[in-house]
Amino acid sequence: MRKIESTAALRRKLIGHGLPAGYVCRAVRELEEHREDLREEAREQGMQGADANRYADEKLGNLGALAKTLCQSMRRSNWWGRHPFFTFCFLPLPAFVMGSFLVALVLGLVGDLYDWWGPKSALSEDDWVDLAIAVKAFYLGLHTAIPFWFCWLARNSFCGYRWALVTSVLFALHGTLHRLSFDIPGFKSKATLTWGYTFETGAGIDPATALVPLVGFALFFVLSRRANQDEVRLRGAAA
Amino acid sequence: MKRTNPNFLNGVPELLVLQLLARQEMYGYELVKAIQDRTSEKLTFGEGCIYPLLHWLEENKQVISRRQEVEGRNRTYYSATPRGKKRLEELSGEWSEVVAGVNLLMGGQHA
Repeated sequence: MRKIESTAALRRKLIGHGLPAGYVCRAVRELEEHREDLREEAREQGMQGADANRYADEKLGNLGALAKTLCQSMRRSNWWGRHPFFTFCFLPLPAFVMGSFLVALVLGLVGDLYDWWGPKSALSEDDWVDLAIAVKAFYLGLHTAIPFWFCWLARNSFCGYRWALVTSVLFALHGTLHRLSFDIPGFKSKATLTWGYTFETGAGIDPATALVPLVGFALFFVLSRRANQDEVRLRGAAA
Repeated sequence: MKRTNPNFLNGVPELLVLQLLARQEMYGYELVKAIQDRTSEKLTFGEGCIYPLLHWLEENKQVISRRQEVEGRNRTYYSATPRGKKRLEELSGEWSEVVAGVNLLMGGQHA
């Protein structure tokens, strides 16, 4: 295991793993306080300067191994962290189905309320076009919100960026298999909403549904790292 | 059905820490020194290892922490919660059974 030489390097490593900044600062602060106690102990034994530092570092143990143990123990402390495969590979799918169902339910109820669906629909042709755009926007919104929420969960369950990436890539693959079409009513036909999966490749694939989770992950990664680094700087300044 | 505990040996640090924190609140360094003193330094480990365990116990609400300034130094003090004390009772019971079993096997020579 690569040796970490200082608590500052340990902080960078934990932040790099995607652990929440608040926890990282707290863990590093306690280790620094412990190191200071060990230095004091060394000075009481007659050691000075570099010798006292070496004594403290040896007693504190391998910080690389400690970083790994900190991540693992915090993961073990919550259900999502104990079952990352199930959480980040499987759960986004039922979340998507439930999200779609809720959107369809709300759309159906609102349509009933304002008499959109009956034979004498209150909607004009332009309204139908707007509605189709809104449905598509909700659909893309689900493809953005669900992986983003699981990325957030990966961070807060101490699973880190790796599982956030896994969930985003899987959701992007899911986007290549899933189809939604909303056909506005014609002269004789009714409005139809088609939702489902297909293994047919080619023209039906919507590149947006495949790309949005990946773009979401990139955004999450950049924003999360920046927020973490800012918080570490602020807490460091406050300390 | 009799409950088994395959992770028991992994639970020894948890048992030691809860045992000490059930009696009085301590900070990390103090806790490590107490373990070393009271086991006549028979248990030695990288002292940083205490923190993953303490944080895990805190996430599981078995210990709570508070910051306090003592003699110009800020420290995080930990103490066992009622849930931690209950867990300590369970672990102590399991430990006694393991020790009794091992002693029987060894012919009582380590009793």
